Amino acid sequence: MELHTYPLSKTRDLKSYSFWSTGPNGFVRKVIKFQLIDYDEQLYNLAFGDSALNSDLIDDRSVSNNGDTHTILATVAKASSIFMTDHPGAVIVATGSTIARTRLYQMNISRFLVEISSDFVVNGYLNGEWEVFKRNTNYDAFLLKQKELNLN
Amino acid sequence: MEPKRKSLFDNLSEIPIDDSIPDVSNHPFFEKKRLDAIEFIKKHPIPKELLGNYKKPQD
Repeated sequence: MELHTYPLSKTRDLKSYSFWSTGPNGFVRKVIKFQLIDYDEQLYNLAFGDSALNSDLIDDRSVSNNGDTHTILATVAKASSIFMTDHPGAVIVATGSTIARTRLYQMNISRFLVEISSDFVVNGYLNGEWEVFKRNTNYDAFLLKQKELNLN
Repeated sequence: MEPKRKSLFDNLSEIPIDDSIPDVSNHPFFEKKRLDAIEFIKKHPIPKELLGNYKKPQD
């Protein structure tokens, strides 16, 4: 399945990505930041927000109402894939800023689970346990890592 | 033999470097996200087997 995504750009340290959401409400710059939270395990948090022009305001709960939620999430997923390529062995953890945002992540992971699973292992946190991601389950957080190559 | 599944992003073209991307490293919003994530992981530790295969550099 071919996904429509926005053109991405990245910072020199390969840890931040940006794209422009476009729609009826104009252009909104989105910034994705992969934040190292455990060096030994190369565990990164996925943080994502709008960067308002001429302002320091950044908020991942803001809704740009540009009618492009799927394209935005597909672009974030693409940035995650590129980040993993640039940082072999890294693991990404993602939690939504609200329950609704977390559900949105969950629905989109479910939607493309087969395709995502060809390259990544997805786990979810629920009721005190991390488990392999299953559809129709309301997780509190998600964990993404590249599949290990089996050269045998 | 299982057919190879198509990746979502088979064509990962080169992503340009953009110096105009705001540096959000020290932005309070992103810093809060980082601290919240650290707190979450502290409360809900990830089992070793679910973590990556990062090979630490040897001394």
